[in-house]
Amino acid sequence: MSEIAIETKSLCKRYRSHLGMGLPPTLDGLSLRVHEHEVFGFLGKNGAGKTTTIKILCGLVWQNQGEASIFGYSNRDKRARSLVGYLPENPYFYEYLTPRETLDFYGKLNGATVAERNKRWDYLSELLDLIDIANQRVRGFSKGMRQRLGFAVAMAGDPRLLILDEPMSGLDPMGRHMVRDLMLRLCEEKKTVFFSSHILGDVEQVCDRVGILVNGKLHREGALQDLLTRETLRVDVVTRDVPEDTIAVLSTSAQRVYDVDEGVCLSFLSHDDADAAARKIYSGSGRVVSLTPIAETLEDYFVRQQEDGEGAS
Amino acid sequence: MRIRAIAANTYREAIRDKVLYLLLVFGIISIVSSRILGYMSIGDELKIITDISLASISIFGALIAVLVGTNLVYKEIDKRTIYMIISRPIDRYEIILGKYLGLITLLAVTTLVMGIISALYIVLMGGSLGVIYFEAVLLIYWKLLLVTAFSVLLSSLTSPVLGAIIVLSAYVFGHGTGILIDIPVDMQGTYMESLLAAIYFVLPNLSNFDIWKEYANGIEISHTYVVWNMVYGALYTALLLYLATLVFENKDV
Amino acid sequence: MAERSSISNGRMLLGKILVPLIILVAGIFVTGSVQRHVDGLHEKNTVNGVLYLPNDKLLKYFTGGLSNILADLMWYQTVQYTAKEFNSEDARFSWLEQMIRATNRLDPYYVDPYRYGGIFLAGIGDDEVAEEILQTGLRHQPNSWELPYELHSLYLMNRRHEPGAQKIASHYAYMIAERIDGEMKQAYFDLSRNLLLKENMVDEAVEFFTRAVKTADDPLVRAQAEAQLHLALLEKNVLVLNKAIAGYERKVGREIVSLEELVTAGLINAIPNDPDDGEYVLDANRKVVNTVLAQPILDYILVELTGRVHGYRKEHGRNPESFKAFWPNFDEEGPKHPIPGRRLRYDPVTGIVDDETI
Repeated sequence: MSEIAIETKSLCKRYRSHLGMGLPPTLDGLSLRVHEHEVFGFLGKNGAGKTTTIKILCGLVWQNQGEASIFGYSNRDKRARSLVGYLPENPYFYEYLTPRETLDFYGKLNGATVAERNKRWDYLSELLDLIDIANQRVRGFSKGMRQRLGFAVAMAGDPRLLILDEPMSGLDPMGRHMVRDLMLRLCEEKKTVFFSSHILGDVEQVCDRVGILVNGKLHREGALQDLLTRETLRVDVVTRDVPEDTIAVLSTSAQRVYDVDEGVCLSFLSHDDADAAARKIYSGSGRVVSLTPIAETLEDYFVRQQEDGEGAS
Repeated sequence: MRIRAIAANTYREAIRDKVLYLLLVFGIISIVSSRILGYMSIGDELKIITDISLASISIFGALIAVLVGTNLVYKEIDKRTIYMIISRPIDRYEIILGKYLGLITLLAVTTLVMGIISALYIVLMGGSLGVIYFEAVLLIYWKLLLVTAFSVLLSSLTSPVLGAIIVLSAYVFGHGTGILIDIPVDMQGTYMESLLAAIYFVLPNLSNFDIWKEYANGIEISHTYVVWNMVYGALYTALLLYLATLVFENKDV
Repeated sequence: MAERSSISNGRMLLGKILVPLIILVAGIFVTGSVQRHVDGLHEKNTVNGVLYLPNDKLLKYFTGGLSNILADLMWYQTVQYTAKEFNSEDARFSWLEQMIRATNRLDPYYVDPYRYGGIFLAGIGDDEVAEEILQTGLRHQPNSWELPYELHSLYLMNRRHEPGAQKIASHYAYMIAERIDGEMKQAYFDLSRNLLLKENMVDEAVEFFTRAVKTADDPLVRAQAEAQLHLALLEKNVLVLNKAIAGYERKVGREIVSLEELVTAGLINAIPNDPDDGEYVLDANRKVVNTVLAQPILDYILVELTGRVHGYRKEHGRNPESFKAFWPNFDEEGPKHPIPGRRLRYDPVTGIVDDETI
């Protein structure tokens, strides 16, 4: 019987400009639910309010209306924060401390004893590959090193829930790989992970459920496989050395024809059309380089939802 | 435990602020200038030396309190290091208190060092130290507690530059509140007098902490006076800190 | 090829260091010369470098708690001002009182401005102001010994001719005795007693100003003490001469005619004739008058009379005809000249009062 890790009810937040005037609302009745042990991807375009939501959950920003709770504790209750490990986008540290000192400091803030802090350090430094840089000052760290340290800090208190704000932004492929592995590992350890991201390809690979934030509200929410139509969107046939008139004939049944490196690509809306085209090419001169069915990606879905949501309001 | 962690962190960071070099500047300026002025003027050189030494403790202490204090919360917010602190199971007021304690610990150290240097210098020039010397330095420190609280409050509200200007103006005006009750004869008995008197009681009366002036002139001050001033200072400081926590409680970072 | 590159490298380095250096030095020279030229264009007025405080009460409150330091600086200014006036020919000390009072207001507990301010003011003849300032100081610093000291000096010297001066000086001497410790404590108690008993304080004055000259470490203060000592010694000479005259007249049974008789009679070695000491002259009552001691009295009389002329002129639109016209208590010759052998003179045409030898 898993608990509800995160729940928001009609969360509203409106920032004020410097002059004290109200700006358009950032969150306009956000209601979402994240179950324990889930990996939940929180999507939305830039400025949609993902970071604001996360900040409200972590007690950095207070909502104007609505509720937010973590494992049943209100976001105003500091007990909620004892169950959360937060990794902000571009984590900021005290530049003059070393990773060891940094984790020691945050450990103290968590109320951990010296022994507990040492044990935690041993575990985290190995997990996140911090041993080599344990005693260097943060000042000279690269983005990847900072991210690893950021994770260590987020995990310092062995939290049940990890809230990560764009954990993969700005990282090179190695870095993104590391984060993905980390999230999978956290999943194995029965932790709950709530993160926001732009990099939809990575989201696809780790998430159980996603939510899409449009115009301050949750536009769609659900398990990945439920949301994405696994129907084939189209079939791409890449051809080479096919005579012009054959191309012309095939184009009539194709949705799109365009040049690619390997030759000419014809997109068909159904398998049958694609098969027919391929047989035609085989019987004549010319070659079929590849025949690929394309399913809807998360990106396609995302863009569709975005347009949908904006159209609705 | 959490408050102490923040205090220790604040202390460490403030020291790195090269603030301690100010102490060196203090030592040199106060010794050299008092020597020169004492030599060139007629009369008791010791009075001038004592004046400048103790005034320096007050001024440099205030500079540290304001320059570091107004940066305290602002820098954390600006550099976002505060994210990792607020998101911990810590109350907002604990953060403010921790920062405050870190800074007043630093001020205690610097005041102590400057106080000892001054004491040595005064004794070297032939003066005597009594209990009143230490009371004078203590009250200077007490005044700084108030100024620091005000700086921390402003640090949550505005940028360090504007905050510093406000606190320093309040510092100067706080020493001159006497003018509100030292009114010309034709103003006495009017409602203006009562209004000014009311303002006088609301604003912090910083000149009361300056018993070093009496000490420099060899005037006696009763211990009761010192204690009551400390009570006043503590109450006012607590009020300012309470305000600071209120502001910080509701702040979006 | 390698050689050429190393030469050009060296040249580049030289260029990087030398050229900026040359530019900087040349720049400073240019700005320096322009500065000199600017200074020459505008004569800086440094004659009156006095810090004028139009409203020091305001300043007292808005110094951010540094009114003490301001007082120290103000006092320093006062000292410099006094020294400058002291050394100039046309000394008027017109700002002195105000500067002293301003210093006192900035730091009411600061003893030196009361003390030395009192000395300076008494030295230029402002006895009453000096006393007032010293009294104010005493109110704020009731335990100081320096202020009663200056007050007692005031009454021993400047105001010794006033009725009751001894009693007042004795009262202050007692205050000093109460407040100091050491060997001088008894001395001041003794002085306090003696002043009430003895009539003539000249010996005490000489003794104290001799000591003051010895113990003063500021040149300005020493100069004051020396001046006072000089006057006290002149008084002593007058006293000695008067005593000698009385003894001589008793001895020979007749009135003395000239001071030389004392020398011939062997009562004194010689008539003192230090050029700084002025002359010793016998008046109509055969009392000795010293011209240096009498000069301030003459000055005072001349100032008073001139003032009365001006007052008369203002009221009546013309000069008075004679002394009697503007001073009804006197006859045509006017008031008595303090120095025997001279008399006051008034010219009704010009309105000028001066003196001449008879």
